[in-house]
This record gives sequence, structure tokens and C-alpha cells, in this order.
Amino acid sequence: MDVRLQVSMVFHLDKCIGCHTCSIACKNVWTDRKGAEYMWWNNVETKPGTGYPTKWEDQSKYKGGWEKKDNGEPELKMGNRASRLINIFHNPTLPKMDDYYEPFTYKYEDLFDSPEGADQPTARPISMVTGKFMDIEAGPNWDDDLGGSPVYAENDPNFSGLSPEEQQELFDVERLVFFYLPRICNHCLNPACVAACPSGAIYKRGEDGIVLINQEVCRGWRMCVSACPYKKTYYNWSTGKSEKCILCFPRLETGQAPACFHSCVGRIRYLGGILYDADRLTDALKVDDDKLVEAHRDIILDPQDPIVREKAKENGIDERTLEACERSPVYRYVKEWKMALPLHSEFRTLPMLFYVPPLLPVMAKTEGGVYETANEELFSPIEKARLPIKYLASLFSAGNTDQVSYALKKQYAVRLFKRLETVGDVSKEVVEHALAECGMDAAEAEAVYRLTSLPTMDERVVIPPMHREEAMAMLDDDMWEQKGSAGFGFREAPVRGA
Amino acid sequence: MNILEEQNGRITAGVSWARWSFTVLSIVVATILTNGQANAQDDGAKLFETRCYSCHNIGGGDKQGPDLKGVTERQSPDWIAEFVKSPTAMSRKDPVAAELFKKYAPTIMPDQSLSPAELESIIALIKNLTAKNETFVPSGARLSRAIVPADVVAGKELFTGQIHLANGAPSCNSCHTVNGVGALGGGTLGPDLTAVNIKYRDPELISILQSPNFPTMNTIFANHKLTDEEVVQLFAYLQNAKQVNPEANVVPTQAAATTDPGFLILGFGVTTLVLVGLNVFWRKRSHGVRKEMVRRSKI
Amino acid sequence: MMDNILFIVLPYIAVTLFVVVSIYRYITDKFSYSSLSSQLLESDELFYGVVPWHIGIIGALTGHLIGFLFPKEVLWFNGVPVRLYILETTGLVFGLLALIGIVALMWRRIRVPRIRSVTSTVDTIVLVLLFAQVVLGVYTALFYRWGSSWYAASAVPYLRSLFMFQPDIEMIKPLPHIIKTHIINAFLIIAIFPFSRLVHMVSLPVEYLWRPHQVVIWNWNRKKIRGQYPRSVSEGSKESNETAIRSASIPR
Repeated sequence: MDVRLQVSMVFHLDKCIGCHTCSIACKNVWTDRKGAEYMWWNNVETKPGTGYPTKWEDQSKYKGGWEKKDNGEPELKMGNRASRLINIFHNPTLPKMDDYYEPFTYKYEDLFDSPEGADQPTARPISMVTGKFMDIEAGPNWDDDLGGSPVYAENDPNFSGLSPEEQQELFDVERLVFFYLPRICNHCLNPACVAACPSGAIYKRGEDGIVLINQEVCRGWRMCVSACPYKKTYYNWSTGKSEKCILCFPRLETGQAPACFHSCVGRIRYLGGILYDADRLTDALKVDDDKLVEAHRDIILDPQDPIVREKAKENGIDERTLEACERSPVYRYVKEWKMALPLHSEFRTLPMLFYVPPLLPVMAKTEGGVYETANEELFSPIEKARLPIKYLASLFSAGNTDQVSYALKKQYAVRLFKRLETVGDVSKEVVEHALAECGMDAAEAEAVYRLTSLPTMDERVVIPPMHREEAMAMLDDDMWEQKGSAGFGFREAPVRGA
Repeated sequence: MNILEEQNGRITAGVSWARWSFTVLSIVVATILTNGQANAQDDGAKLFETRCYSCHNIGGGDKQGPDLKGVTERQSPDWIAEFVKSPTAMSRKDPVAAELFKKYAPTIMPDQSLSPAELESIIALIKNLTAKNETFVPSGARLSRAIVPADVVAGKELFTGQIHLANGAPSCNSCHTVNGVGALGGGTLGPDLTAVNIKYRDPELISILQSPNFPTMNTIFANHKLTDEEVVQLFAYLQNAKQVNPEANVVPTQAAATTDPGFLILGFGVTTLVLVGLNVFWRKRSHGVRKEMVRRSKI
Repeated sequence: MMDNILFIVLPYIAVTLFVVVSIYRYITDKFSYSSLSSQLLESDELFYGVVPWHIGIIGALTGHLIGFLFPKEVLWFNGVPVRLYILETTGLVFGLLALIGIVALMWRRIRVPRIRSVTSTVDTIVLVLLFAQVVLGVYTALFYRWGSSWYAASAVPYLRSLFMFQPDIEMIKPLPHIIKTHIINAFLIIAIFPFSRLVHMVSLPVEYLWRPHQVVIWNWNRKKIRGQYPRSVSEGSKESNETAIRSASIPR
């Protein structure tokens, strides 16, 4: 047993209001630079939709992630190692800038400087790449809130499992449904970007599992961009280096929540330490797609298990870190309650960002012009959902509907449980039945309710101690020399090489 | 287009669309390099044979250059020294030299780096022969044995490199061609040798084979001389080359200005095949997703 | 005199610059080492430039290198005319591929506005030098045949003499000007190498073929430090992986 720590995340989609505050916080802190204008380390997509970059989930086009070979071993979907070197000159599956969008600003000064005339002056869009006037064909969140559905939403790759009728129903005006999917780097346990990097510039930090790109080693071979099935590494066209979400590790190291977590208006974001068994990673990748979620959950270890604690300490994991893991909201949602599921686990990267699937849009259907909320049967809203379970299963459990419906049922049961308490229009038997269906008792339902609806910042974000001071002490014989000078930032300006 | 060509220490006119760029560089200063072994003690006759005889006679009549018989009476030793050092420079200021250049155009005599003592011994030789009214006869310009028919075949194998030259020099076809040698011909860095036995008389050709004193060859063959046997066989082959190609240009002295069309076609053909192959190999490469998707959408 | 400058002084200056500046740049500014790929901005036309170019130039350079290292063996190989023709045709094809590639790359750089916006002066100089080099090379291959043979006999001794620090330019003095220009231009390219994006050549990631897929870097040795409670910080510090620690500082 090789116990390691992973700083892990849960996004509660039922609470996301799609305000993009997280994206803006991230953009302002990290990607408001030349070459990075088009990057959104954090973005919020509308589902159904094609996302950012367009159709990133369609691996027949982008060849991201891993696939299981016949002998059970995982291999990058891009092909073997040699193919990486063969494709180094021209990466055949690299997304193009037009698949993201060409970054633009407007020529605002025209609004002030234009001479008097018959027409109002306009601020024409200017490309931030060429500095020339351009026609905007796409932009960030171009298909937000189902905008342009006939073009974008209808091409959602997750529809492939749905029948044409089911797909058609989704776009009936009275039955339209959507939800938001905020995405950051998943800081995977089996990251495809790391495996694909020819230079070996991308690495996983042993201490906390954050995946980073060493900018001094990166040579701009761009393999990570197409290898990451979530398209969460980006190529900076100006510096010629790839960049990605760093989980705001400078903030984490000083005990602050990452910017997107900190700014989240809907408080949907949870962060905490997860202990996992690195020895069993390969086993977890040998199972079939529909078993992946379970296998993924299996390698997560109970921080209260004495054996695990013993092994963790052998690996140098600090007592205070173990305490933080015990309080981890992520452990609750993912392992204890089985409510949070990894996004597209069939990509086989073992992503460590989990999503509580959204209950809200599946709650009711409009039947004959009437918004129907009456429950003839327990959980019937889930089965008759507007948003087919199959669609959610395609997103969150590699097509295994059991996992998704369990997570939804549990949310629904908690809802009934609280409704009995606060409104009282459900019968006690129904609530007890509902809880029993999900193997929950009242205490757990209460706990789910508390962590979902009323968590404080400290409950949502439990950052394991990063022990930066110890790292610092090892760096230099006299750690006090570092005092006051251990900031982060550039020693040289990040200018493009000649 | 009439352009100047450098080849083997002389410049001749040639017609070639492909060598236009040479006009820019056409004032060629090709130096016959100082042979390290050469020194003042060398006999004038030996020097003349290796350094001058391929273009000049003493008493035997004009060749590529004028017969040098009596030159010591017509010109001062200083004039000769200056001329030999840089004929091109001399021709610009001296009317006599200019006249010579005109007469023997387009051949241009390359600069010669001869030590004063070497020049002295050559001048002495010319004076001596002129005074005695004798003709210069190269001493080494004799084959070591008589030619037999098999030598032609052996010579061709030496020429193409199928048999390696004993002292390690590259085979002749690295730079030279002879009509009908190999499918794509021989080299074109040096001149076509098909009619070489008309351009040079036998003793001259033998002398060249024994000691090629052209600038490019000089450095290569200085330490990799042909053996006597090789000289015989190559001589036989070159002599035969003209006979089997009677229509060959009698003075094909410049390097072939064009390339073999077969070689050209082969090169371009294979390149095209490779390009097509690359396209096939990477036929599944992405041409962008969004634009294509938008284009194909219903609206 | 001129010959001495061009064929002795220039090569030594070029190679010195190449070695010294490349290393200096690598030590002081690793960040600037990048392929500076522009595929993200424009991909379709790039394919027809970058793929033939790299295949062609790698093939051609390998040919030059083989000739340089094994001149006798090349001459032996060329002894059979068919083998000579195969070798020469292969060389010509590499050259033509490189030519087609670089023309496509130049054309794209001039024509596509996005690419023009990421083109520096050095990029332009490099492109022009490389273009000239390939044109001269292809011209030589076509009209000064057979390069593979005379290169081994004529140019290689010169190059080797440079390496032995006993420069001897007698061999190449009588060569045609096209070939001389090819040699001079080669040294110009070597000279500009460390100042240009060409440096991406030296970071060819061959070690990727055998390194483990996943890379985990421990910034500090926790087992060591935690294993000796109560810990004495000064011990074990020597074990730290300084590179790893530095790499953990903020990505740019």
C-alpha cells in the first residue's frame, strides 16, 4: 500500500448558477496575458452544448485520454510513444485556435475620437493575435445558456447514446433543459498530459498531486494539449509554452482557497485532501468502462482506518494532514456518500475533480402545458427526467446509469427528508422508504443536507497543510534567509524566445 | 546566354539556363595550389610537365594556351612573373596580356602559385629549349605497357568505381562523365571526358592521368596517385570512349551545365510520391472542429 | 585572405558562438528554449510546410553527417553505380522535400496574418538563410554531381581539418562558387543558431521513448524529514532535489 495525498475537488452542480465568477477570478489572476487571452483555465459550460474548445469530449476527433488495449494495459489514445515523436512536427489532433476562439478586444477609442458625422461611431472588434480588425465568429461561452443550440447544443457528443426521439425532445421549446458544467484541470491520478509530454516538463507534485508544467523544460511540442481529454492544457502562442490550471498552489500553500473556489457565488465548490493507494492505480485502469467509477472509488482510502494511517505516516504524511483528510468534504461526497462522480471516467485518467450531478433540471416535466411535479411514484421524477439519465450517465459515469441515478436519488431523498421537517407535506413512511432505498439513515441525510446547503467556507475548503516551511527549510541551510523573500513570480520576464 | 564557366582551372563559355547565377561569380580566381613537396630543387622540366604542359607546349604549337617557345625573348622575366602570378589582373592593365586573353578566349589561365625559384627553373627550361630550337617532350608521359583490349573494360570499372582505385582516390565518375556510363551518367562537377582524347594528345592525357594538375584534382590526387596499371586502363577506356561515341562534342571542356533528365525526373517523381505518401499517412489529421461543425449545421 | 576569413575565421567564430551562446542561453534563460510552434494559429498550411521540411532537412543533415564521419565507407558504397544512384536520388529527394517545405513555410509566414504577428526579425533571417542553403544544396545535388562522392574526397578533409584545429582550405579553394557559398552559408546558420528558434533542435526529446509515462516530483523528502521526529531540519537538506524545488515555483 503506497498511500499518497491528493488535493481533490467536488463541484455540486445542483448549486451552480452559471455566473462565471470563477472564470473571471481565474482569468484576472492567471491568464490575462499575451498569448493566454484565449485560455480559460476555469470555464463554465452549458450542457447540452459543445463546450470549450468545441466538442472537446469527442475523442474521435481529439484523441485525448487513454484507451484500454486488448491486453488490459492502458495506452494513450494518440498512439504509442514513437507516434508522439513522429507527430512532433505537426500534431494531427491539435485543436485549432478557431476551436477555442480568436481572442479579441474592441477599438474603443473610436467611440471618443471619431469626427462628428451622421452615424454613431462603433467600436470595431480587433483581434488580439494580429491586432487587425476581425469578424467575431466565436467567443468565450459562445453557446452559453443554449445560445445557438441548432449549431452547438445539438452537436453535444453526449447525445450519441440517446435515440433521435430523445434528442429531439430535448429541444422542444417547452421542455428545454440545461445545466452548467464548470470545469478546471482535474489533476488526474493518471494524467494523459504528463504521459504524453515528450520533454517530461509536466509532472505531478508528489506532496499534493497537483499537476504542473515546468515552463523551463516545456519546449512547446503541444502533445499535452491533444492528450488531455478535457482540453485543460493550453498552448500559449506567444511564449511557445503550454500552460494549465495550477490549482492556485501559491494560494493553497499559504492556506487560501484557489481563486475560483474563493469567488464561487453559488458555493458549489468543495476542496479537501484524499488519500489513495498508488499501488492499485493500474488495477483500477484495467476494468471495463461501466465499472470505472467504482474502481476509481475503490482506490480512495479511509483516513480513519488505522492501517491506512500507519502506512500514510510511513510515507511521510503528517498527522495534521491526516486530520485534514478526515474533515475532507470531498471524501464525504465521493467515497462515503457516493454522490459525487468523476467527469467522463471513460477517458481513464482518473480525474480527481468530482461532480454531484444536477437534480434540478430533471425534477419535473411539462405535460400538456402543465408543469408536472406530482409524484405518483417515489423517484419517478428522476426516471422520467427531462434530462435523460442516460445523458448524465454519459457525462459522469461512462454510461453506467446506476451510478448517476443513485446520486440523484440520494439528493432527492434528502430533499424529501428535509421537506418532511420543514413543510411536512410528505408522509414519514415515504421519507423512510426513500432513505432506505439509498441506504441512508436520518443522520447521514442530515449531514448531506448540512454540507450541501449550509457549509461554511472552512467546511467547504479544507486545505491539508502544505508544509511549505519544511520544503523551504530543505531548500536552504538557513531558512531565515528566505524570510520575506519567498514570494512567487518571475525572475525574468516571460518573453517569447527568439 | 553566354556565360563563363569555371572548370579545371580554366574558364570557358557555355550555354546554360541553369547556371545564370554563375555570371555574378564568374571572375574566377582559381589558384593552383602550392604543392608542398615542390621546391626550388625541382627540375624545370618536371615542373613544366606537371604544371604547364596540359595547356602549353614549348615548340609543339599552341594548345589551350600559346606555345611558350621564345616567350623569354619577347617578354622580360618580371613581366612573366607578374603574368603567371595573376593572369587576369595582368590582362586588365597590360595590352599584350589582354590581347592573349582575347586570342585564347574563352579560356582563362588560372593564377599560379610558383615560388621564384620554381619560376626561375621553368624560365631556364624555356630559354634552353628555345635556344636549342627543341621541342619539349614530357619524360613521364609514357604508358608502362602496351594496351590490351581487356584494359577498356577494366578502365570502365575503375572509372565507375566498381574497382577501387588502389591509393584511395574517389572514382572518376564522382565528378566526370563519359557518354554511356551508368544509367544516370557520371558526375558533373568536372567536365565530360567523352572526347578528352581529342582535346589532349596522348602524352598529355597520360601526363594528366599520372599527375592531374588541375586545382580541384591536384589536392585530391596529391596523396592518392593512380598506379601505372590504373593509368594504362583508364587511358584505354578514355581513348575508347570517343570511338564508341563518334558524335560527341569534340571540345566538351566545360562541366555539363545541365543535369541528367533521368536524375531530375527520378528526384521529382520520388518527391511527389513522398508528399502523396505523407498526405495519406496523416489523412486523418484534424482540419479544425468548430468551423466544420458550424458549416454543416442546419442553419 | 578572403578565403581565410570565410573558410577559417568564420567557421571558428560560428562554432564558438554556437557552443558558448547556446550553453549560456540554456543556463540563464531556459524559458526561451521552445519550438515556438505556430500550429495553434494555423494548422492546415503548416502541414505542407513543416512535415516535408523536417523530413527533408533531417535526412539531408544526416547524409552530410554520415559523409563526414565515414567518407571512406561512402566512397566504397558508391563503388557500384546503382548504389550511387540510389544514394544520390535519396539525397536529392530529401533536398527537394526540404525545399518544398521551406517555400511553403515562407509563403505561409508572409500570407497568414496570425503567423505574421508572431514572426520576429530573427525568424525572417533564419528563414532566408535556410532557404538559400536548401536552394544551393539542391542546385549542387543536381548540377555538381555526384556530391556524395566528391564531398567525401574534397569537402570532408576540409571540415575534418577544422575539427583538428589544423585548418586546410586547399581542398575547397578550387570548388565552384555555388558550393563555396553553400559552405559559408552553413556556417552563418550555425552562427545564428543560438540566437534563434533553431535551438529547439538540441532539445529533441528522445529520452521520451524510455522514460516512465508518469512523472512525479517530490519537492522535498518527506519520508526523511518525518522519519526523524523530533526533526532536525538542517540534516537531510542535502538530499533535497534542488531542481525539483525550483521547478515547483510558479509556472510562468
